[in-house]
Amino acid sequence: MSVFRGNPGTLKTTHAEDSALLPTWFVRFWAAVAILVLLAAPYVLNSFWTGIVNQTFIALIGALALNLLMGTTGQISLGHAGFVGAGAFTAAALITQFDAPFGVNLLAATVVGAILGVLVGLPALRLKGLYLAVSTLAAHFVIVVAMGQYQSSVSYGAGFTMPAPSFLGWELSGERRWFYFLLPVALLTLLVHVNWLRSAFGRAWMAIHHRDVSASALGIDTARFKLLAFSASTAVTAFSGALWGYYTGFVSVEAFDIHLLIQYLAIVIIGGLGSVLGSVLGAAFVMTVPHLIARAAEGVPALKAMGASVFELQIGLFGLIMLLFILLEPRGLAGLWFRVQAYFQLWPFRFRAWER
Amino acid sequence: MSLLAVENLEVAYARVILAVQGVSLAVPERSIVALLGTNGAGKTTTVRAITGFLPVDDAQIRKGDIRLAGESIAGLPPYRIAARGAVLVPERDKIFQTLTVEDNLRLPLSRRRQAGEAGIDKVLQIFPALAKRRSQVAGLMSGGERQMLAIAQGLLCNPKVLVVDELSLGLAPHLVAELMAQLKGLRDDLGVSILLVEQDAASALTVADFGYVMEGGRIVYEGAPDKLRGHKDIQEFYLGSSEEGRASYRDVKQYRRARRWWG
Amino acid sequence: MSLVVVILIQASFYALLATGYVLIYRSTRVLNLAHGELMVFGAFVFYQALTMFPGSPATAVVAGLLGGALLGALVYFVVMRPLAGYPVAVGVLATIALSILLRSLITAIWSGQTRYPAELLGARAAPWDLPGGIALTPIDAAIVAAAAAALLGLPLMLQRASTGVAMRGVAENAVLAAQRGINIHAINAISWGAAGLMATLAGIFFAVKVRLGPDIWIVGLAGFAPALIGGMDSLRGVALGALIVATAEVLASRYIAPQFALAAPFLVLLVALWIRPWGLYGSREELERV
Repeated sequence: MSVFRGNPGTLKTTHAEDSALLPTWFVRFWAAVAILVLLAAPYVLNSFWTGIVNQTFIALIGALALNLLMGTTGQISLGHAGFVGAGAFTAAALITQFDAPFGVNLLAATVVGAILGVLVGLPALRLKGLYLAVSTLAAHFVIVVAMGQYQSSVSYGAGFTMPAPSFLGWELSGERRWFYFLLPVALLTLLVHVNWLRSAFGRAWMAIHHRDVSASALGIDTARFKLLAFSASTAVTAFSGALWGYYTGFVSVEAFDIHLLIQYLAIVIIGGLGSVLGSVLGAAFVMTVPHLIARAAEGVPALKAMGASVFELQIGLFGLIMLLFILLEPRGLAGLWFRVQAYFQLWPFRFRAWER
Repeated sequence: MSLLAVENLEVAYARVILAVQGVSLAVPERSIVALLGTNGAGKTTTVRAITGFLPVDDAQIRKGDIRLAGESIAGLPPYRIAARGAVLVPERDKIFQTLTVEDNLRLPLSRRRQAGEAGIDKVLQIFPALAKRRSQVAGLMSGGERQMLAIAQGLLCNPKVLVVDELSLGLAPHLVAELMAQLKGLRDDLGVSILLVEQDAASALTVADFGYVMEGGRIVYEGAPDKLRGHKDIQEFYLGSSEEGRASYRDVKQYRRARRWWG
Repeated sequence: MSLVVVILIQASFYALLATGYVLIYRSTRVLNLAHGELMVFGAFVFYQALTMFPGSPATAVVAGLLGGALLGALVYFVVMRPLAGYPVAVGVLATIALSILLRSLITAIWSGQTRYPAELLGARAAPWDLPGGIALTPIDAAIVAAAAAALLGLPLMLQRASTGVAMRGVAENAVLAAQRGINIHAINAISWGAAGLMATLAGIFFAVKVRLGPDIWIVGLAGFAPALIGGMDSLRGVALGALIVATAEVLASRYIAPQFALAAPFLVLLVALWIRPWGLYGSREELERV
């Protein structure tokens, strides 16, 4: 994949510039606009679409975590669905056994996720590339089987109903309330990730991604950072899983299957591996586009006649879109954005010269 | 008309970063041309452009052309360029380490069976050290032997131009001198032209008929070896000698801004 | 002794699949997670031809093999070739995306219904009664013969034939091979086509012996376990890997529970990854090559 991080057309000459969150007035302006639009959104959108945005927020959190592991640190991980499930099941188990409150469950899910990350990351230290992918896939199956066992023995296979959580005395029910809870949570997670990426952690992870032998020669403890990447990623993933469990109100092992993994892979690939912007764009794309297609398809009688296989075709469509991005624009939607950005930044010139 | 002509080449990475600009060089028939420059000068990018490996690094030729015997080879896939007669002896991964010497030599001939044994015999005459090791696994040979095998393998592709990338890397000086001398033999006896891309300017200039110096993605100087050796700045930066003693980094920075190349 | 025969037949099935995975890995350095779909596609083409020419199973087999081989080559040209030079992870993700796409295409063309080609073959699929109480069907014999041919013929071809030498060169260093005048795309297309062909053989076997449907892709996917256990880049390891996985699966299915049949390959894989990630005969440096 391209060795360039972010937008290669942009010239940054100081470290502060490179790490700035909102580097130019242009960015600051549009960030403010975005926040205002988001704050007003639930009053403009109907309940259904507010729900879509809520799901996007949760997917964003999971995607940021996956992107950290796969995109930034380059550790291919196919166990994502298992970790999401682990978070959801932790919350469900704590409610069932101890009737624990919302905050405690979220925290517990995060901790469980971190521990799982270390457990999966340790053997992964010896493995790379395809062997790593296979072992994370195996980890997924192990986790799923464990969850299935728990579900059969405790709820007799029926799954767990999650009560509406209570946050700071405020009950989270209905899309609007969830929206105003999830918006700051998602933003906070975003900020945390951006901070990780522009810190020494992020640089170490990127170095490991690029060539871990060289990173090691530079004094980076690759084992420690790889484990950190795994556990940070799985912790946030499990957190998103717990949120998901509360949001949908029901936790059952079938929801955490290969299809969920594929959905997250689609998000990070279509959005763009390695970039936070990519996670945002990818989550928005994958969550909203299927509904848009469904609405569009309703207007086409031929598609309606196909009935059930439309679902299959939709999945196929995602496979096709993923492939197209991998082949044509490996940096995903974020890459497309960078190209547009570079064009405007360099205009009327075409190129940025190597030297200078 | 030159055998290999690079005309006003412009190469960009990731569509926005220009690495090589306005590079023109020519390799005539039956001659050895040296391409000198330090790391980051753009030599490798130019070599990749000539031999067709730019797409691997997400780079493209944005302007200019590369012609071999009058026909454009810019943008062709590597095996076509090799088939047309521009063959690369790479800097790293020069040979197939898991194959025997015999298999290494047989491999380029898989498409032209008639060249066969005769070609291998001829090449083993040029490098007798290889004849002794025909059935040895190539990865177990010494650096010098590997370089010989790499050149031999390149010759078996029937090249018009052999592009030799960093021949001297990792080799003892007397071996380098020996191999450079053998390049002269290739030029004279086999009529092969050679584009010698080198950081070791001194060795390269002992065998070259003409030389180019690259810096910052451009050709900054060119001429016959004597002219190059006589140029004060080339002496200072590439040959390691100067009247005022060794230059410090600070001086180099100052110097770059002044750009005295054409003086 | 019928246990030995059963294991041998299952191992032959896995050997054909695993050889495909290894060929693909050697040429394009990717674990083809769409291999199950290659298998299903070839089997469906076989089935389609069988319904169109019911009197001639040979034609159907040839049609299926052609279909599988062509799809393999096509996948190489359209998906893998543009990704040359990218890290392994990208290729793997691309094959995941491809598997989703192919699965939905197969379902769109042939629908999700399960088919039973054995019914169309009728008497021809009936078992022979051999001494020792072994009932061997022609398809069983065919699969063992095919696996033997592949496991003996391929290494021979790689050592002696000039295409074989070229394939070994491409497997080690495709970039250098390209520089030495080898048309690496043709070589890789041959590898992928051969892999598709062998996957189809395995698919036809499964379709006739058990059933045919888009959902049997998971059986084809299980074929990567023997490949990994034997060593992802080693054809020599395929035989041993296939035997190990087949033994585990047959024993587990017979002495523990039949549902274990599908889990067995993955469990053996987990153990193998723990003990020896690069496989029995795989090059250790494969692990460093990322």
